[in-house]
Amino acid sequence: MRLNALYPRGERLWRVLLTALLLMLVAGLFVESHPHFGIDGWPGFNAWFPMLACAVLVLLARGFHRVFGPREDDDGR
Amino acid sequence: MDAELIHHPALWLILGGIVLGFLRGAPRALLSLGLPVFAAWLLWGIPEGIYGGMHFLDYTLDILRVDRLGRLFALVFLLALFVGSVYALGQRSRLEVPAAFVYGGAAVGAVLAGDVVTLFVFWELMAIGSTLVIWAGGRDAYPAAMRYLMVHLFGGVVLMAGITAHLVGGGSLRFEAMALDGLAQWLILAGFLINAGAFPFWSWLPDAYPRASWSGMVFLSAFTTKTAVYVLMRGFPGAEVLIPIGLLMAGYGLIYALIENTARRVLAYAIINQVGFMIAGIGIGTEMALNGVAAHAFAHIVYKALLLMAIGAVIVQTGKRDCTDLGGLARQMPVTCGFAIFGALAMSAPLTAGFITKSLVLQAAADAHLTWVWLAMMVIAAGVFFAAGLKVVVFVFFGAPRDLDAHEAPPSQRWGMRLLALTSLAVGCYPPLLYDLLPFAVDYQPYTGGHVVFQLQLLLATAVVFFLLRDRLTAMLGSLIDVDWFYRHMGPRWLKVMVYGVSIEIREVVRLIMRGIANLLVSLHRHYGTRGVLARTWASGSMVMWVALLLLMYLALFYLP
Repeated sequence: MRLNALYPRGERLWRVLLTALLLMLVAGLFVESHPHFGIDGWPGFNAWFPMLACAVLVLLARGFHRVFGPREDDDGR
Repeated sequence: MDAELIHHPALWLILGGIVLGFLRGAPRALLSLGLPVFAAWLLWGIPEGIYGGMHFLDYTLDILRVDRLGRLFALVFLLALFVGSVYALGQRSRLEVPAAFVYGGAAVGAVLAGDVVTLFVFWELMAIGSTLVIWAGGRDAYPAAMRYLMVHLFGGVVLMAGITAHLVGGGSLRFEAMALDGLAQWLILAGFLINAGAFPFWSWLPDAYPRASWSGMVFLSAFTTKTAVYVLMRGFPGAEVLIPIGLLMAGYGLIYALIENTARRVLAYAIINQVGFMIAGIGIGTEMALNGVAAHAFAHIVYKALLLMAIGAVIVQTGKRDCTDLGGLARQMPVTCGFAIFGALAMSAPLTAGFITKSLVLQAAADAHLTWVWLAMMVIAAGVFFAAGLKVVVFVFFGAPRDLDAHEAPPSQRWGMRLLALTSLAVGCYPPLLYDLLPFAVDYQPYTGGHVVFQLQLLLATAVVFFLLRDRLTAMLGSLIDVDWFYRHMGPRWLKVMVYGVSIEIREVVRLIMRGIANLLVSLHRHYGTRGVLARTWASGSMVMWVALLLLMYLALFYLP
């Protein structure tokens, strides 16, 4: 059982999220951007960079969890 | 002594807080709601300038300084105090709200202090007031309150040492920008950073704040760390060392928030994350960066208090604090859930305060061409929405229902949340409301097509990756060892050894040595024993290869300079 699935509206929400993201990606092609560093001028930078960043954060958190966790005192409930 | 001092808002708040302790029922509610409004009226009426004239030792103190920066922070604190009082109308503790007024009053006094001695007095008063707010959380909160007090008294001692050395060394009594050119200034900086929750003194915040009562943490989240942000802005704008310090805090806050199970501790880590973001902004130090930090301090107080209010309401209804015990509350508490969703969005979504403030700091980093700092700030902007906003909302209000007996939050709590949401919305829809109060003139337009679309891309992409990875997050929920482990567990252990002598620990030490020797013997046997790797019969080809390799190494060594 998936513990924190957003049911029963999970599927619908998922589709809405993806559609909105796609729409925004398309919209991003038509708005003016002012890249400062080069990399922020890559297509869809504001979409793929946060995704990559969050995935790396989760990986890092897993590493931390292995090294520093779990805590076994009154804080580690 | 100047006559204006009688109008000092902090004086009225602190005295009012003491009187509140003796009142009950309607008079108490009226006073707690009226005092912040009265103090704001007083503050608004004082013309910009420096007021004081009070003699202390050999110094003449400038107790009250009103300028744009101080007034902005003081007004934000008064707003937090007012909305917190509305939310806490149902609070039964007789200590908490009066203590919160002393605490908030001291914070207002600190941001309006014109000299370092007055600042120090209010700084210490804040430590006492906030300790009492935590203590009001009940018997379980007492040890955490004492640990919190110890850290802050230590920070106060460091600050006092710095101020003394600064004054003895001929430094100015007036609290203004300082250069980091001596031990005194470094000590002052360290004293400020301890209150901001910087490494290695960051674990006091997630240790103490979440143990306060359901309403206590709303007050706590507003004052101490934001006062630290203010004094860093005033004392050390553009100090480059603040950039790595801030980014380290932000990274720590994100990783620990991702793993943490207790909902309000997740938000406590998010406070460290966002204060780190602000401190890095102070390190950039341009006018736009400082404007952005001041504005973001406001936005952060508003959205963090809103999220804490929503979780506080959940704690009142269910008595549960951990993500693993909560879930599916959106059906029982739809209004609270709505406010929590708004609080998460108010971190950076268009039409909320977070959008118009965070983008100022990001723009400042871009204008200064600090590529890595800008990229790190992008990670922080996405990460805090991911690790705190989405996580808390989804794990507490959605997901598998836990058959909890919960009802919608009472009207006083809903009004507290409503006022904050309206504030964030008003500022987000009409930025000049906030921009006109900032310390420097603002030449920035947050609502361009590019900004809005790119920000929405960021939020939606973060939401998508959250739903892809949420099972992994669920599997990780727990708590991690933090810096406080050293002084809470290892410290007392070594103290015991020092007090009672080595004898009680000797058995442990001998056992460790014996285990080490045994491990060594096993390892030796594995390599050199009768069946060891080196005892095997090897093909002559491999012998030739190793000899050739050795000769090559000699050759290489010979030709090395």
